[in-house]
Amino acid sequence: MSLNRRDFIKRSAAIAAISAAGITIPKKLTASLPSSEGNWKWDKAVCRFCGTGCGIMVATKNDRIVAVKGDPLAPVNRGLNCIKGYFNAKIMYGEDRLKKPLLRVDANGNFSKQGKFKPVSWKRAFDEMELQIKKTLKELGPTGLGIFSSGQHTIMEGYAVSKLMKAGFRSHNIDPNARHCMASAVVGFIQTFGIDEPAGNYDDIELTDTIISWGANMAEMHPILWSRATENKLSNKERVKVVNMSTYTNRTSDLADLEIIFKPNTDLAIWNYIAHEIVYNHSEAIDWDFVNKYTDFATGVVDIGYGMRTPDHPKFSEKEKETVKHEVAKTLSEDEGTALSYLGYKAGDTMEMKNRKSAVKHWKISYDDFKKALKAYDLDFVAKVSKGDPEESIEDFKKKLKQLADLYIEQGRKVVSYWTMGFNQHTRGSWANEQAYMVHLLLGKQSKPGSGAFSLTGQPSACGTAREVGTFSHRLPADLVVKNPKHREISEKIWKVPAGTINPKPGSHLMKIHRDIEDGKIKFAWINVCNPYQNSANANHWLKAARQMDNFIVCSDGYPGISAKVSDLILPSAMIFEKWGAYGNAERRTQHWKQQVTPVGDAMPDTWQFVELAKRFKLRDVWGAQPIPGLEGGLPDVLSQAQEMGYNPNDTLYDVLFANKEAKSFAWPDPVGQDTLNTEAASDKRKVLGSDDKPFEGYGFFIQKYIWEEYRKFGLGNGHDLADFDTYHSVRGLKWPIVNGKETLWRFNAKYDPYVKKAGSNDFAFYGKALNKIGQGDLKNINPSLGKADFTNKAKIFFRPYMEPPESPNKEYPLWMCTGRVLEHWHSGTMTMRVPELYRAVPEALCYMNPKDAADYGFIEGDLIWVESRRGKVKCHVETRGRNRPPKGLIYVPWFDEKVFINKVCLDATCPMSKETDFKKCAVKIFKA
Amino acid sequence: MNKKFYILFTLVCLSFSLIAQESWEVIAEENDNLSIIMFDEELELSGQIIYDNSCKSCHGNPEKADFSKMLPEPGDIASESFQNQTDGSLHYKIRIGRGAMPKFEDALDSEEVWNLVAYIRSFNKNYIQKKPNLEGIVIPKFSLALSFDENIDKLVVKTIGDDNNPMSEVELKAYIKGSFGNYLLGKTLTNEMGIGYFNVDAKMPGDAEGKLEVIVKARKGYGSAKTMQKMIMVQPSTFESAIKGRHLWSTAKQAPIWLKVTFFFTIISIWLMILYVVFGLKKLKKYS
Amino acid sequence: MRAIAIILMMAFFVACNQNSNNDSIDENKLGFIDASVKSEETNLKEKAKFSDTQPGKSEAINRAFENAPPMIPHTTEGFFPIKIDNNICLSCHLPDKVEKTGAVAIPKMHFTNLRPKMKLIDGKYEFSASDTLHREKIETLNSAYFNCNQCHAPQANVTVNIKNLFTPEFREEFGIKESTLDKQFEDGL
Repeated sequence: MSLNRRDFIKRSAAIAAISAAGITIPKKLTASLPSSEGNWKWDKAVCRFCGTGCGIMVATKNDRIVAVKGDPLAPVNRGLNCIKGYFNAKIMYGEDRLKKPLLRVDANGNFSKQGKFKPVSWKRAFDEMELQIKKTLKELGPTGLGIFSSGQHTIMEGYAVSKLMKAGFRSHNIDPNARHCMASAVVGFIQTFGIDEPAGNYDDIELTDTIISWGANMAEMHPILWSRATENKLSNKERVKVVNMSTYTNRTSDLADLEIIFKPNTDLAIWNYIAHEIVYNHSEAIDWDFVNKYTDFATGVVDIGYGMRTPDHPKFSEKEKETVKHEVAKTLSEDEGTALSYLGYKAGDTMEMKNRKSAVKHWKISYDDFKKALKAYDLDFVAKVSKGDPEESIEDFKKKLKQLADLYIEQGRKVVSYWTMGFNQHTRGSWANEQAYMVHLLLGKQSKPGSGAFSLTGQPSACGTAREVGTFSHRLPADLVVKNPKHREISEKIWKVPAGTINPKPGSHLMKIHRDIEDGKIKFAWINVCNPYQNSANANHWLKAARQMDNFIVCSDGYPGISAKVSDLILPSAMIFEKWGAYGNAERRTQHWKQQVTPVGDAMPDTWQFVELAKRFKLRDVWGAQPIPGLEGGLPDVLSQAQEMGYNPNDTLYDVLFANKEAKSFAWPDPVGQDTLNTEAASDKRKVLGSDDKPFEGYGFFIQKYIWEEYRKFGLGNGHDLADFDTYHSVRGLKWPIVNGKETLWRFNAKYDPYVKKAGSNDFAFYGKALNKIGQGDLKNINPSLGKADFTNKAKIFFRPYMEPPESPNKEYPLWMCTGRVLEHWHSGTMTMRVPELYRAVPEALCYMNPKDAADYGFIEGDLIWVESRRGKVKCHVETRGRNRPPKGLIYVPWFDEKVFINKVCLDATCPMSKETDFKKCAVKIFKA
Repeated sequence: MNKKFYILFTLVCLSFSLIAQESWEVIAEENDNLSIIMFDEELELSGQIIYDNSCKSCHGNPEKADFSKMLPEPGDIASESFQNQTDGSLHYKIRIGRGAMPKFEDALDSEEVWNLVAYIRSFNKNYIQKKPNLEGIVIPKFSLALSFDENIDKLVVKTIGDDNNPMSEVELKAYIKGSFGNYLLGKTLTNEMGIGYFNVDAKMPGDAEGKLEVIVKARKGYGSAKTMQKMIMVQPSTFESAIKGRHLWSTAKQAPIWLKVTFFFTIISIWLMILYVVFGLKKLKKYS
Repeated sequence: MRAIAIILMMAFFVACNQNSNNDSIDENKLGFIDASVKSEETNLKEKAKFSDTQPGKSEAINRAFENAPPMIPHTTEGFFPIKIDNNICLSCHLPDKVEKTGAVAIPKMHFTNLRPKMKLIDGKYEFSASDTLHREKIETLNSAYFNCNQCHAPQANVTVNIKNLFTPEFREEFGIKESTLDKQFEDGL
């Protein structure tokens, strides 16, 4: 449309006037101005949210994101996203985005814990961090430092911080929020298979006949996988069956053929019932060929406590001790007496928790012992124990359990079991995971297309970053562990640091970092890409410790969440599309993306923050001899060896770990990054004043590619093979292990996994190397005279009993309280609550409860009530007709809402093996506010 | 016969009632009831406060025989008719009441009535308190430890017996001390760990630090204990002076500057005008 | 005289204005809680209310950006939960019913299948490579789109305290109201 000058001026004036008056302009007028014509740049990227790992395409224009659409080529989602996925476009534009570092200072500008936040320069921020770290190292040694890492870190960031902490500061007090999410699954994998991560992939959904969701609200939490399941179900209505196993009715139940509402914790009993059915009534269903060749039976100790601190800890209030006393000894209930009868226990016995520190102990048993242990788990017992809905008849419930078992047992029926937090956030979560494999392995329905137990991941990169890079207190990259000297040697070689640098003693896991801060054992903590003060149970303790004790807490985030509010230094961090990165999703698919826009304000990517901190520490500061409590002799002085390797004690950790010769060999610009921003490598238009108060000009080399290529070395040849950096930018992710350019679809299956042939088998081989040599014994204990059993290439079929949680409802606290997410919000809501559409969809966390319970208490919908436990209380509104419909006796309160801080109420009991908190059950009482 | 007879008859009946009032019999069990706690000055003082509030209106000031004119006479508590009764009898009569004398059972608990008895006895110099026969009765001894659980807003009371073991089934009463009396927080029994909990409303007004003074009384059988403590339990109340800062309603020193300036100039100008007029007049006078 | 008066006026105004400039940030003003983390108060005094207008009588909500899923402007009371045998949304929004009901039609992309079927070759499953677009038009609704509320949500009547500074841009006049996804689907591939 051609305009002459007069018309243009007239129209612009009109538009200006109308806009000033606040009237919307008909689109025709704006379109005629040349500025809103085409020239959008589309690029592929990954969704910021759940573990499904959908592909999205992001459109940018003038350094801003203008639109998002589902990636039509991404195999995970094929062009479809969920509501959160679409709003990836808006998550970076909240009004209160952190733009400058904020430090608590007093009137003179010095750091003071009682001070108010004031904007400071990056240099001042790093100066203070350097001061505090050096002070802590002097006072407490490397164990005085702690880092809250994340399953939402990009793989490069996770690797950088892990290397800095483990090889630089020589501390293992780094643990991700994935500890709250997948730790039990990891223990289940390592114990059963000797290697982490699922065998199958998402295509099982299309190929299977049965989808069984255990304690996982897939409709809301993995929506795209659920839409794939819906598609399969609706296309094969008769053949395909969908089952929802849950403690309350939710959206997943609405599409299920069979819904089983069970009492919290009784998933342990139900698995054993299924195994009982197989072993006693349908032994023809056992795939003996598979079982004999590729598996063997095992069991472990049961008196392992509940991951809590002992009652004599000074910080417990009197009320809390009512629950914590079970950590040392518990009186067994009726049900537990029957469940544990195979060990000689009976109801009323006091079980002393002797194996609190050796919870992972396990040994091989015979099939006869396995069968004997299952004897008590018949239909009558299990139905009585596990019926979750008081209004359901026991006969109906028994029928449902039988239906479930039949679905598993049916010959020729492919079955996939999915689970997420219901199993993992469980005081016996590792057991529940092992039991899933128990049934699938017995039936031979594992590692086959459409058949298998699939542990779904919650976070976008709990697999890719936390587990594979090993940002845990006891791990190193690619499934290596800190305790194994050979593994430390491999890491030291790849990282090019002297032998003996890496601390041989595992560090504090996430809950222990909180507890150590409360005990004054950790005095410097750095929070990255997570919100540990909102996401950890029993929050009152940790909030008090952060604010009232002598420590220094740094929080790197995009938005000010609760963790930022209680920290001492807040660092503005770049969010997902403001940096290069990679995530690894639940089906082992690693996906990379490029930087799309410049970060906001003075925000800088996390990698830059770690690398800049590394510049402040010389080798002589950290590689000298260091005391480690609990480690005799402490850490040795490796400076002389470092000199032999060619390092100078005055070299900084930056020179050694991040800007070494190999790093600099990756030049920037690089063809794969043509026409793309790269803040770390080449800086950006803002020229932010960096940690030396000078404008940051970029490192000059392609640091992200260097990190990737060095990280790859860990996995090559060990079953964790990743492709090279450039490949990932031309495909929509690849599932590792990638051997000879081909991704692996089903692991441990010779048709798809090249490692199986390498292990010498033509069918299956569970080639995980960990925990292959264990003792043998009977159900009660190891018998040393029987020697060691060898599980090379074999998986373990575990027997695990039913046990109750440490806190069950009683007269004073009569309701179960479960917490979790909702579809529209992610985790602590820092990003999604700032998107108006998502906020208006679910503006507050409600207390979902059964309408009959509400009537009994005299509440009507919308009433404001207190939810109180022994640890804290919060207020929320009642909802009786919402998406979650709990049975009588249970309430559900999601945790995304800062205003309904439900973690003040939750109990910090964990699975003693995985150290993962059980958020799904505690006892509360409710009353009107 | 008629009028005189009826008047006499009524008088006789009344006198009977008077006589009947004279002997207010008390059953033996109540008569022999004795206070376990020895009367001391503190109890007498508490008794005095209760007396002044609840009894003085009818019984008047002790030893002054200025009780109110009623039939039957309330009587002076220091008089013989009172002091000759047993402790238990006094305790009973205060509790149960008779006729115009109200029953104080519901308003006062047993301990408070003993305090009254202590006060009554304080006017009898020859009084020797009889001690109850406690043979075979074990008086539980225990101490109280107070703390506040701020996570769930509860006052936590721990009872520890002499042998350092927790005491269960102890009756606890907690009060908050206020300017005009004590506010009852609640009554509860301790559980098997010897702990009792009281809900505290976080919105109660405390002092500038958020402290409240808590009084806890405990009783089990014949044993009792009491403790008082000031603890931080609520939000600090900030008392902001309404006349702080410069407002129209502040004190003269803190008046808004614009007002002061305006006032000053107004007065000055008025004085100047007056002076002008005065001198002007003077000048006129000169020239007249 | 005039000068004195002016000076007096200025002094007057200065005295009236007392301003202290402070750039310190109160931590209790950060984030959503307008109070300290110790507070146990919720922010919403009343449970948030959603629209109760009947379908058809409410004004459509503009898309957040080009081809974003539009939010639901009418009440969803009784329409949710969507069950496997009862999806009430479809009874008004399917294209063949739209003439009668006047509802917004489900766009063409919801009737497209982008997922190629897995092929079993020699007992092994193979995929088509991920750089070729598979696009298949189907007659009935693609069942992957069956769970409408996975992308479309009703909006409550609440004030948004923390604004979002994202500004949408629409390349076409109709981009704000209608889906243009099937035309621009292959952009950027």
